[in-house]
Amino acid sequence: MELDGFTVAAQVGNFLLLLWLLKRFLYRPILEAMAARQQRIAAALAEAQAQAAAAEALRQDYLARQRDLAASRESWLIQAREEVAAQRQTWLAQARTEVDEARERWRAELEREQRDYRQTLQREAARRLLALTRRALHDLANAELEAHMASTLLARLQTLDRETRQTLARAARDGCVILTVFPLPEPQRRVLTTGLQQLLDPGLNPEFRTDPAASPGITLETPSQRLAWTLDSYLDGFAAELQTQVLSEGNSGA
Amino acid sequence: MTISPDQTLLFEFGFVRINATLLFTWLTIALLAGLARWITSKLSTTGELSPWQNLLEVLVEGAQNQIRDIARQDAGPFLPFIATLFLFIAACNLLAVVPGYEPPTGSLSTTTALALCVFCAVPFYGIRRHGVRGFLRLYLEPTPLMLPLNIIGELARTLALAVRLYGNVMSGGLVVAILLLVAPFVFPALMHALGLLTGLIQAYIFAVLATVFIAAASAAQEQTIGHSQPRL
Repeated sequence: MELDGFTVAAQVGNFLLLLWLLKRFLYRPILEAMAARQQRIAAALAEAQAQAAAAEALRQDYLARQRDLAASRESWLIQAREEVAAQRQTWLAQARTEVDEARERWRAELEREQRDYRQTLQREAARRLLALTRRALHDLANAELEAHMASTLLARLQTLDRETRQTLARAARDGCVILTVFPLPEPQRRVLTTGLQQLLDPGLNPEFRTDPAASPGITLETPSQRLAWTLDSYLDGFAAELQTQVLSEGNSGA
Repeated sequence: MTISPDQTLLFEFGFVRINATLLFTWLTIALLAGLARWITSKLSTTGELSPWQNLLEVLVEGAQNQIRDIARQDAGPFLPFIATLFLFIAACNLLAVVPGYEPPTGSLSTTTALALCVFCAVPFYGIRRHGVRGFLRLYLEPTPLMLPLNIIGELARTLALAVRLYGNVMSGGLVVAILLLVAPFVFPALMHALGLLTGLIQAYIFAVLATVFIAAASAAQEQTIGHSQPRL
């Protein structure tokens, strides 16, 4: 066991040299690399934490929006249901109104048709009744009936007002004709002549004529006036009255 | 058969005596520095690490943790010194299995030089941390009467450091040499394998003791407040 002073000194120098070399080429680079990596990892962790925080914030925001959306959805649904119900009521009321109007129109139309039909029926009945009456009266008409009708003519002349009778009398001075279908018996002619002279003009001398084609009855004709009481005129008046009555009933029914 | 590589003289000029210890020391230094330079020349701070960089980072971080655990303070200031001690001694001891290589740690001059470095490092770090007066006050603790014993303790532990390492390494090599004469098969290989283990353990012990001595000097001021200073 020997100790060499130069070797000891050289080994101290060698160790210090190795210390310097390793410090320069090993420890410092390694520690710097580790520190850099740690910083990078810390930065990455910080970034990850920031991103996680941002993600959490986004998640919370999303959840809040989801809750708001759910609440809004409920309110929207309630509002939509109310609107639908209101619209349904509106449409139902509108439909009821339209149905009522249509029903009213239909009923009015039906009533109108019924009225028209009734009027038509009544007209047709009246027409047929008149035709039947006319034919029956024509069939039943004879000289005796016309004689009775001459009395009726005189009765009608009596019912005329004074002015009308004067107008008729002035017209009769220019000529007066008594027209019948059948020849009047002589007594009836005299009664008529006497009656006309008393009612119109004492100097009146009527001319008696017959016309088989005319309506049964008696007609007083002057050049400007005509006074008739025939079955046709009677039935025509009756038909006019009947028509007026039918129309007035139809209008009152409407 | 030589006991110490100091006895293998390669070159002599005056007092300059270049022996095998210095030669293998330089070779070891060149190997360590070259490896460190080669590995750290392509360090990566991003992406995947190379296996060598990973190994170096494990070593450096392991050394940091060991120093922090032992010294109970920041490992930064001590790391280069302690880790260099460990790497140098471990490299010398492990390279002992290479035929023809004589570990410099088998030289008392080398171990003495390393112990002297530790001897100087203790006041260096102590003064750097607490100042000259604060450090010198350590030798008067717990009473000024302990000053001679403290000084003897400093010298003794330096001597113990040097002799312990020298003795272990030198004896390991000597045992292998003797076994080669007695039983040339199997046993030398086993002893070499055992030498690898003991070599690493010796490097670890040397580094740990150096850490303890330096840390004790650095942390002495805090410890004198409530506790007695540990002495190793």
